Amino acid sequence: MVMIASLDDGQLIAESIDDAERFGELFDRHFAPVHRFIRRRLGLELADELAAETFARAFKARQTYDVTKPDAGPWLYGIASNLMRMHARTEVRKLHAYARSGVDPIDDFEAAVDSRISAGASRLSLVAALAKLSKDERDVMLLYAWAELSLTQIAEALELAEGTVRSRLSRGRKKVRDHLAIDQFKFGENPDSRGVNR
Amino acid sequence: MSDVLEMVAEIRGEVSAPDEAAVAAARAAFIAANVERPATRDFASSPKQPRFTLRRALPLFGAAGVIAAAALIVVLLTTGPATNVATAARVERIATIAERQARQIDSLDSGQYLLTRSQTVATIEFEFTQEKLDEISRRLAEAASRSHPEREFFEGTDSERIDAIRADESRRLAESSKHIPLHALPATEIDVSRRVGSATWINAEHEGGSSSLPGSSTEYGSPRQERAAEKLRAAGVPDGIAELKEATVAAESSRFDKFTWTAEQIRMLPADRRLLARRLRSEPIPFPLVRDDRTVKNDEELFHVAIGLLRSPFASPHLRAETMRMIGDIPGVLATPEAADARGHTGLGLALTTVSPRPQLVLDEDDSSVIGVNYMVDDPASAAGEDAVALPLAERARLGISFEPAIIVDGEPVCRETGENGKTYERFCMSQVRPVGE
Repeated sequence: MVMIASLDDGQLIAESIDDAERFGELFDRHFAPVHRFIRRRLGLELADELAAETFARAFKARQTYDVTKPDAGPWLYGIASNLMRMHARTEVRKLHAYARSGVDPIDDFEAAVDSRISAGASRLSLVAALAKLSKDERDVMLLYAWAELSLTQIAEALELAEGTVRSRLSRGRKKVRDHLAIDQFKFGENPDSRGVNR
Repeated sequence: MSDVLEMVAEIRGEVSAPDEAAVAAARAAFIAANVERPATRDFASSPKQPRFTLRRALPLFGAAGVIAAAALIVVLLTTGPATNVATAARVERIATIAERQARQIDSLDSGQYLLTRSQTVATIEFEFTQEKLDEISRRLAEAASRSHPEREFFEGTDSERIDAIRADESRRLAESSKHIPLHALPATEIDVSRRVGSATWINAEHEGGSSSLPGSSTEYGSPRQERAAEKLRAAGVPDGIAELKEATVAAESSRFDKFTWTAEQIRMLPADRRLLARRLRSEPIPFPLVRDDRTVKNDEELFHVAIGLLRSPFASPHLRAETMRMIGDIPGVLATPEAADARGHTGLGLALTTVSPRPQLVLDEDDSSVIGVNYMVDDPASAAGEDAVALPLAERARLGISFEPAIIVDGEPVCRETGENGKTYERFCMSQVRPVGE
């Protein structure tokens, strides 16, 4: 009996250079998480567009991929992050809007109503803190928290030194924590007493 | 510090990944666009193309010319030019004024907020049958008696007195409900009470004691209707009792200008008058507040959609300008300088003359803002052969709202104003605003 081991991402990309359709398998593996990551940051509409564009760019650049790397996830998240940087203003605007109103603009209407009800002020304060981060810090923090990449993978995705990733993440955490502390000071022990959507 | 990252990880954690069908569809599109049809063409291996020569091309130019001429005729027949040269010139002038604002302010986004001013009073009334009015009054009376300060004292001890109090309150409430329009709200509420992402503005009657209410809902057709329904609901009237109808607008063919565009919807619109008209005529317009998608069916509806767009604070100056030009392209639109709305404000009137009553949009000639909308009928005298005189129907006066760019200043919710009925209204603004430039 012959066992056919499934190929890792690097091998798959190598094969896709001659047999382009093999790239479809990479699409199957990574499209959903990449799409979800973009959707969490920018909403469904842009997620559809940017996730497709991520894979289109990856396909065109597949010959440059280091096929010894078995996981193409960081590479794809890196492309997606670069694409999302063009929409950084939109992202910040949506985060601000969410923080101010409690209604998450990336959601559809019905879901937004639910989230408005459930979103406590501490969550909104956190969202506001995210909006205040720099693009670089937000990229690193969300790749870590939402895409669940390791520091090494983030460094690979963003083509940075691991030390840089570490310091950006640390700075981002500190800013968020400081923001939360200030909000707690401003609005008292119970942050949910803050008047949002009343 | 990991606690911060864990908290961040929970934000939008409920957002789901696309399901298998969506991934499969995206994959098929990806394969079709990238794999089966490469983006770059391999010219080296392509069959040799015939050499381009002018002689070969001449028949093509001729054919193209014929097609272009035919297309022009079709366009002219279907859309028609502006009604007359004067109208076209006036539309262009006001559109230029609108466009000029692009140099003064950025397109507004949901991160900014706006000052509003009302210029025209809405006189819309809801219709209630007497039976429903009685039921509402009874429920209001019950609710009032439940919260009566002496309830505990009276309850169970003197049922006759309680009944007497209830009867008296019921009578007074029934009487007052005939005079208090449940939905009477200042004009500014309509367009600011919506999901803009930055703040929900909530009005409450300063003296009337009504509670703060949500700004929008999928349950009811409009914030105004919702407020009326919410008042009833707060009073214990169950949903469904009040079939709210807006009496004066029910007879009108279109409610499109009541549609409040969201910032996102506005951004999706093309800022070119022809593309805009095509988009509005061909694709359903989502009405988030009424859970209804409608397609523009005729010029009158397009006219009203355009008014809604012009009123939107999210429309960029360029989009507003193109919207005005699109109105100018509607057959039968006539521009009238010095047109007056129902309250006497004057501006450039753009009337759609092919329907009756004729909607007339009145625009401020200085800043291109919407002053109001009239619904015009001909003076009966015209039936006797005299010159027709257009009369604005005061009872149909629409909301006229003009928006000014503003920036948010944190502070207490202290937006108070005196309504047309002399009452003081308090807008719970969440944030104060001040005009840009101050």
